[in-house]
Amino acid sequence: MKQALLAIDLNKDHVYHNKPFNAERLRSKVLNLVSAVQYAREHEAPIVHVTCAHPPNDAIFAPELCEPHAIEGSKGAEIIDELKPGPEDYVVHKRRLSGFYGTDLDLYLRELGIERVLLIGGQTHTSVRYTAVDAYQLRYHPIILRDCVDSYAEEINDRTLGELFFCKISNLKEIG
Amino acid sequence: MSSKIRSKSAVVVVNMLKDMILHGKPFPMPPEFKEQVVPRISQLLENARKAKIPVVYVCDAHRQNDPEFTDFPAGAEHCVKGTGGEEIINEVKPQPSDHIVEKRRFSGFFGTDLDILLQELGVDTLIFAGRPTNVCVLYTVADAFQRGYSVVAVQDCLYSKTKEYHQSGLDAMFFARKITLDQFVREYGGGAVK
Repeated sequence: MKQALLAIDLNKDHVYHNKPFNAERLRSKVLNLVSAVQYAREHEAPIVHVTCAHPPNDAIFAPELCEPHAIEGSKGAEIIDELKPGPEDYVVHKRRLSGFYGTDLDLYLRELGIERVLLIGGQTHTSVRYTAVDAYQLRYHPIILRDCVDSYAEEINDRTLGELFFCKISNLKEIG
Repeated sequence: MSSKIRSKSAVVVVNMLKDMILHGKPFPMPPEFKEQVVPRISQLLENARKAKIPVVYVCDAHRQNDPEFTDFPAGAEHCVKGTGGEEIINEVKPQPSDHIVEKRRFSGFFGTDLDILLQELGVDTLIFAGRPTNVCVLYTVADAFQRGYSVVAVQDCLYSKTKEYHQSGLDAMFFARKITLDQFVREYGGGAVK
């Protein structure tokens, strides 16, 4: 089955600067993220960074929703140094939760004939969850790598993974 | 994006279907859903109609052998078009002024004309009821939020297969304003809303 790696919101604001959620738990998994990207390269699975790039006045920067983060063109919106995209990688900019909403992610995956997507990144309860459900609805078979995703709290991460019954939950060792 | 409840609203009620509520497909709903939540949903819909707030039913309507039935271990056949199981339960029967949108995936926006319908109705705020809080409701609410609608969850008019799943669905909706049926009635009344 032809697969692609979706690396979700691994930008500097999300991972280094705790915006909009504390990312300490995800930072502790950076080595796993690097391994996942290596695995994808070795297996010729396209690597797609699906990452926030917001206009400064994006409507989602409402006080009750989230603080401004990953403004398009800013340092904070860049992919973290450890995972710096190579020329062969694809970067999809999103403004909402799902990597599929308002982006060409579906088009890109279709063009490549992708049938299965491996999801890594953060946070499990936000962009990972909503990208995974859209992947499922579009009939890509989503696999979430448990050792390569996280949320600000263990309980939130675990509870979310427990509800994603339409995904396969695996980890690097199992797929590698 | 803040939910101004007096802006132009619609009530969106998710999956109030015979297979799901009467026949336990694809999973049984606990008795408190039918005993307590369904009557409240019925009241919510009646109040909405009195207040001239559009009511939109979002309903599973599957093809035979829909892959959703076999894609994952928890899957099971349900709400196949033409079997009767896809019909709305009598307790919340749609009225001629209501709208019905059929779907084949979790989200009411996925592969449907829900967004087009809401645009035609001139609606900017969606008030949610139905089931299950942590699946079809959650993913429809999230898609509404992503599309720029203000979203309101009527907590006591939603439910899941367990209280815990219901609560985790509500918790996941950090982008929604949460109210109760009483609050809805107070804020909208049964009278005219502009």
